[in-house]
Formats: sequence, structure tokens, C-alpha cells
Amino acid sequence: MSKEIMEVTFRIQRFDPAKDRYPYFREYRVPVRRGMTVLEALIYIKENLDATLSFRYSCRSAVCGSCGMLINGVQRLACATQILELNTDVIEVAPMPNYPVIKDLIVDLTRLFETHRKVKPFLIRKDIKEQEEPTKEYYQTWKDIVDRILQFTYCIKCGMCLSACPTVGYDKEYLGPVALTQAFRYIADTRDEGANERIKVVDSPHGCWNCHFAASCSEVCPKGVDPALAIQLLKKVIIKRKLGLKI
Amino acid sequence: MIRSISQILSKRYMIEKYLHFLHRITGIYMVVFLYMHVILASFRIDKAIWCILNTAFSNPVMLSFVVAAIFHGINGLRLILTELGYMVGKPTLPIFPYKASSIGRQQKVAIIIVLILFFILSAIAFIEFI
Amino acid sequence: MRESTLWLFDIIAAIILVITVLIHIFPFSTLISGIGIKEAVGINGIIERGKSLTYLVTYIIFLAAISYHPFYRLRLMLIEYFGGNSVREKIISIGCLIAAIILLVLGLYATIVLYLQ
Repeated sequence: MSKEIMEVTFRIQRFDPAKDRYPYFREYRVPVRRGMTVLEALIYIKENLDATLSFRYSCRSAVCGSCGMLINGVQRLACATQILELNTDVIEVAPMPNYPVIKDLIVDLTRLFETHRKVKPFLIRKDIKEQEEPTKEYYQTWKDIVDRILQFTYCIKCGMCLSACPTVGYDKEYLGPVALTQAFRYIADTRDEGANERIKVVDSPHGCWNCHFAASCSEVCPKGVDPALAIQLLKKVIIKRKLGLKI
Repeated sequence: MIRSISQILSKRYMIEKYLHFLHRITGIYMVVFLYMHVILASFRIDKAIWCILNTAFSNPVMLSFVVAAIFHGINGLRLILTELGYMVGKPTLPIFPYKASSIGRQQKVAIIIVLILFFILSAIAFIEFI
Repeated sequence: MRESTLWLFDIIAAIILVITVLIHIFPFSTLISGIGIKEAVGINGIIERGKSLTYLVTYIIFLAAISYHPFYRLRLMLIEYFGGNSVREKIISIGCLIAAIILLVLGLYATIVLYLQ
């Protein structure tokens, strides 16, 4: 355990719907060691300063996607953000925008999961007999995987992309980057045969055509999934199918 | 809606978000203006009204319309190319630190070209004005 | 009609618009066309240019593009902000269609009157 270097002030947005009318900020001073993440600071606050602070976390290693929050104005994973790298004495932590707040830093991610469900994020195949009694695996080359879909399978459903997207803010019915990326991931998968059903969901009034390439989703994605790329490729696939060209 | 606008203006995101916002604002501005321009133009056929109305480049209001149109047009061309799948790179194997290719070098070069063309053409428009 | 067809027409209209707007502004700029502003914009200049067939055809294409692109995008934007309810979406679509038709009619009136003068 390295020694303490400095004290940093955390301004955290608090809101308890049972007691408060409006959200408010509360400040806490936290001693910071080298290598300390924002999540460790939040746990320190909860253990030593204020036990009523609520936030989600689980793996503390940027693979589960639970701790997405607005840290100094940009969506980041709390467990993957080093305090000293932020280079400031006051760190403002708030819950992710574009989602309803349940309490303190916890948000309601229902929209993320509902939209994801709508695009049928599973392999759809027509050969029922093979599905029920499989005889062998579906053959895919490494190029089939890497050049088409691998990057988009790394999504951890943290929800930060929907939080950063301006269209998700204005449009309550918009599918969002997660749904559109996963729609593309399944359409581009060489094993999948359900492209028509997914295109019908995505090619609709609140579907992929409402993406105007603000690219904030790709900017905040902690896993490099690049949803903006997937959505533009999805548009290209739809247009090419329309014009009868090969994908 | 207000929260998204304040998020956009919080100056922490990359340039594509601001370009999107400006694109929208210039678009709305031009739709309003377009209607007025076409209504006025359809009444201009009468020679008597003609002398009163101003021309494109000696009127500052029309100048703002032209500058908005230049920005919207050039940024729009970049958006057309992007949404058809050019300039965004290809899916790769994500290795830390992740570099999102859709906001990578090709896109940034396109944005710099857009900004340079915008400044050159609006400089031409300003010169016409003066 | 599917959203993707409308979007494809919108992209084509946008590209046509870039070209025809440049043609539209061309005679009004001293630097590019070399004609003085007063001559190009004065009513005589406009009548003179308005009589040619190429002018008519170009302007009809221009009008078609400019009554499609802005109103399609306006409809898309209004549905983003105020949509969700299918009745409201229908009202927005019909409103934008009517606005586009009015613009087209006004523009066609101006161009055809100029051509026939």
C-alpha cells in the first residue's frame, strides 16, 4: 500500500427519492494514494465518511459494466479511472444522464435492456433439425470473425454509450447504440440467417436512420466496441441490400 | 431535451458532437429562411417591388444564410460519406488502449478538410459582402 | 414506404442540392462569375436568365430537391423530439408534406412566370 499523496475533494450528486425533492451535491475529502481509482474513493467514502452513499460496482476491473458514471463531465467506468490522471483537486461524480435516477449514483437501465431485446440478439437459423439435434459446429474462419463481428461482441452493456448519445436524449423511442450495434453484429455473422427480421426492426422511424454521427458513443466506450462504426456499417448494409448489391 | 443540449455544450466531448449540433442549428435556421426567401422571390416578379429588395451579398442577413448554407453543405457531404460507410475504418481486433476507428485518423482528416473549406468559402463570401 | 427508401432519396436530393445551390449563387458573385452584382441581380438580369430552357430545367430540379430534403429532415427531427405517439407522428408527417408542397408550388410559380415572360 503506497503512502498518501494528497487529499482530493469529491463532489457527489446525491438524491434519495424517499427523502429529497431535488438532487444536491455533497462534498467529501478523500486521501488519495498513487494508483487509486474513483471506485476505491467511493468505497472509502462509504466505509468511513457516509454510509448512505449508494452506487453499483462488482468486478472492479472494467469487465462487468456496473460502475458507469459521469466523472468530471464525461462518462467513465469508476473502476477504470485513476484519480491522479484526472489532474484536478475537485472531482465531480454524478449518475449517468439519459436514464432515470433510482438513488444517488444508481440509474435505471431498463431502456438499455428493452431496446437490446427488440433487435433479437441471438442467432436465428432456419434449419430446425440441426438446431434440435446438432451434428457438428457451424464453420467460421478467423477472418469471418475478426473482420466482421469480433469487435462488436465485446460489449459489456455498461450503458455509457446510450448516456452519451444526444439522440437518446431527445428521442424516447430511439433504439440506441447498443441495440443497433448488436443488430449489426448478428446480421454480419456468417452463421446467422435472420437478417430480414432484424432489418425490419432497425429500418423504422426510430431506428438506425436517427443516428447522425455525433460519435460520442464510440468516444466513451470502455471496451473499444466502437458503436458508431457498427451503426454506419449497418446503414451501408441496408442500402446495399436495397440496391441489390452484394454486402 | 434541455439536458442533452447542456451536455453537448459542456465542452468535454470531441468535435463530432458539436458539428452535429451546429449542423442541426444551421439546418433549422435555413428552413425558416428558405420559406421567407421563396415567398419574397415569388413576389419579385413584379418590377415595382424589385427595387426595394436587396441582393444576396450586400445584405448581412442573406450573408448569414449563405454562411450557414456553406457550413451545412460541406459538413453534410462529410456526413453522407460517413453514413455510407466510407472514412470510418473497418472492424478490428480490440487491443488496449482501444482506438475507435470511426473517430480515428480518417474521420479527423475529413473534419479538418471540412473546416478548411468552410473558412475559405466563407472568406470568399465575406469578401463579396465588402 | 420504408424509412430507408426515403433516406436514400434524401441523400440524392442533398447531393443535387449542393450542385444546384452553387449554380444558383453563381451569377450573384463578382469574384466567381465576373459580372457586376447590380447587373446580375437587377430585374433585367434575372429576366434575361429566366428565359432560357436550361435555367428552367435546372431550377425545376433545384426546386424538387429543396422541397424534399429540408422537410424530410425536419420531419425526422420533429419525430425525434415529439414523436412516440403514432397519431402525433402522422400529424408531423402530413404537416411537413404540406409545407413541402406549398414551397414547391410557390417556387414553380415564380420560375414558370419568369420563363413565360
